[in-house]
Amino acid sequence: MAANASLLPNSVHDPFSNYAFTDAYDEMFAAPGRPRPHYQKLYRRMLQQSADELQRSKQQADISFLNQGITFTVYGREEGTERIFPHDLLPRVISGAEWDVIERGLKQRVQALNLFLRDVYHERRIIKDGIIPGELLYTCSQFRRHMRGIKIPRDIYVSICGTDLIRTPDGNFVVLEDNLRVPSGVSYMLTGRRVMKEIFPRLFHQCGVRPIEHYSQALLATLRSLTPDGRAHPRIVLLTPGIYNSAYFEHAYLARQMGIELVEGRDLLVHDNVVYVRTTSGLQRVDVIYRRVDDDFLDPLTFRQDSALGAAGLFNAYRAGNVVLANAVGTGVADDKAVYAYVPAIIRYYLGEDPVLNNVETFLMTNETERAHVCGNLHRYVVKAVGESGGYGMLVGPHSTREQQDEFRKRILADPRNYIAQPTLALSTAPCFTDDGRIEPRHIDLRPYVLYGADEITVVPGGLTRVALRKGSLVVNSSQGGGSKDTWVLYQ
Amino acid sequence: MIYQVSHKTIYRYRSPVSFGNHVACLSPRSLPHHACEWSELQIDPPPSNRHERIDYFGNRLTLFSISDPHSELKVEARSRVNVDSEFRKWGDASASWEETAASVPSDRSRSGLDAYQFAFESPRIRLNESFARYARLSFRTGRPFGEALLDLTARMHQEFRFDGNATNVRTTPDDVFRLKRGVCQDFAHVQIACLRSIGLPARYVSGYLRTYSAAGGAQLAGGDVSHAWVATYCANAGWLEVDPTNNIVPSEGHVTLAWGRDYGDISPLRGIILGGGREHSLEVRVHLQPAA
Repeated sequence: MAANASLLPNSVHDPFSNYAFTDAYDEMFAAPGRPRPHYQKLYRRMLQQSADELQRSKQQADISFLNQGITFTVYGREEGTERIFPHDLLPRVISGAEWDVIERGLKQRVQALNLFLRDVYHERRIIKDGIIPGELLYTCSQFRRHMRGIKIPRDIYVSICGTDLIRTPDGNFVVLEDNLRVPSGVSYMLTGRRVMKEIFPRLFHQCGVRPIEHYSQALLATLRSLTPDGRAHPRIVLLTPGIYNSAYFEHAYLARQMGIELVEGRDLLVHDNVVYVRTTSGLQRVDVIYRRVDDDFLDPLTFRQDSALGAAGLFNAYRAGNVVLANAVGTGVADDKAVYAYVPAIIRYYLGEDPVLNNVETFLMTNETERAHVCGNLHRYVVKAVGESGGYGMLVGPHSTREQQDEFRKRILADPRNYIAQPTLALSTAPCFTDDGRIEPRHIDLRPYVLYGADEITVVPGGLTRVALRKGSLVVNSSQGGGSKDTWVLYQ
Repeated sequence: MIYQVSHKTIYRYRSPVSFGNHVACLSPRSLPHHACEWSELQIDPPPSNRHERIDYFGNRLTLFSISDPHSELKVEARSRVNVDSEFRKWGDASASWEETAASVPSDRSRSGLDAYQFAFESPRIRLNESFARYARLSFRTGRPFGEALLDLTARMHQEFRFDGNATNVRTTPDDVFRLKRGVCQDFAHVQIACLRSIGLPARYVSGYLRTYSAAGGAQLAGGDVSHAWVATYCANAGWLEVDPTNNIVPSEGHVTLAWGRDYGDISPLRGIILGGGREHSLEVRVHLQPAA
């Protein structure tokens, strides 16, 4: 299909000439050859470049990623597990007006979810008032009974969150998942931006792209704002499970950016309910831990006894208020995929407001009618295990075989509480470079990062746009062969 | 009845332990008609620090760490508990058991909300249809709650054999159910699984048992060590206790220590040690004596 003639410069090259449209919302084009207003500048720039130039830019970016060692780990594969993070050269652009809605919606959501967490670990008004069934809580493996009655600094349970948004065919953003435990991916947002600036140094200013480089400092300020009272010069550390964790690159990267120590469990010691880190100048008291270790592994004395990733006694120090963990223990009860279905009700209940960002329609497999309907139509639904993340334990109905559907039907019937189903959604598409040098639409999502500190809620204007690199695929998780794009939020 | 309780635990390690971090759940709960008049925990070697706290279920925990090298750890819990005959007296449990199963999920009263959380699977108690089938032989349609509960307890006592060598702390209720053998902890787990699988809240109670009856009757099993039994929630009568190991309704002869969803919530002593070698031996002695 031909591009709009008025926009075409003298060059005959049009990289979008074979761009195939689908039913999904396309981020760049309102119609064939008609880019949306906030994509105009980028579009013209692309038309000015020859195919060779684009290909060279692409190679330059790949080399930059390789040289910086920006990798992640894929579990469950026999061949090498560590990969270069696939990055697509064409940025995803969001207008200022669209971003305003996203930002308002995310702030509202994180506030409501924090109030929810405070409530479930204290009075449980929401259950007494019958808004959510108690069953949901008591059957949730992430409900940490140890947290009952513990006073959390400033009642902030989730200070770091990464919410997955998708755009539906009507053009609205909706929330697909809340990640309230140890969300990852922010380092790819930051490093991806740096590479893009090397390759298109002038374009950022020309297009009016908002900066994101202050994320690490905002994160540090957030962590510092949680410091226990009376600790004037807090020592903040980042606790990592170690080099075998899929996000180790990110842990090292963020610790370096913030100028804080990167520690493993064996570097910590708890004595008389105070946490210390072993350093070359002796034991030093620790005040705030940005922990990238799951609850289960934090403290063998309280949680899983076979864990060597945490420190024995850490939870008691936490309980005594001598150290702060970010995020708090037990936040997983609020991002359980079955609790997710109730988030709009949670927002109305605590804030008395309508949700700015809607949910995706969700079927609970504990509900008999919904279960029967979904089990009879598995080819039309996406089924997810409630406690899993990263695209593991998931069935994408339309792309599944009959055997896979039978397998999931069995699993659902054996353990209904562990599964939810959602209609297969046409995620929006954006233009991507393919390996053979063409530009084709691929499905994408968006994970913006929210920081909730004692003084303010910060949403850095951008996020990780994840791309399903395989043609037609709807799975964007990096662990399942997805890639990423730079996300440009414009001033206008 | 007033009891003096002594519960001694001794760990002997192959090689010295340089650091140990422990949690003890060894101080009896104080309840209406069940007064823990005093309790103390003697720890040797003396801990470098100790703290007390109440856990999620209301049990009393003592947390302590030992930072001197040691090859033996002795913990002795002593207490004085006054159990009066009103304690554990059943209310009116004559309504059908289905009434409880049907009303608990939507019961918004304080006791109902509290009870409901014991109606689900817990880390050590997974539910399945065979437990439900076994339970339904006693919990027949329309049968009064109390009657059905006593019947289930009696059947278990008849069909399961007390055998200290058949199981260990990690044996699952599933295995016990197949083996039909085990100790008090196993029987409690199985009975809880049966009750929960038909929608009734049930919790695991740990404590001590007077091993002879006041009237000089038969010797009861489960003495000289910690004991465990079951409490289940009946909508009209509140928590009803039964002891499947001895087929009795606990009364003055049972001293309650703690309760939780299963053994894992309230194991008496657990810890993380540094060093100690591959093996250690464990000695436990419990003594329950009526006080003068």
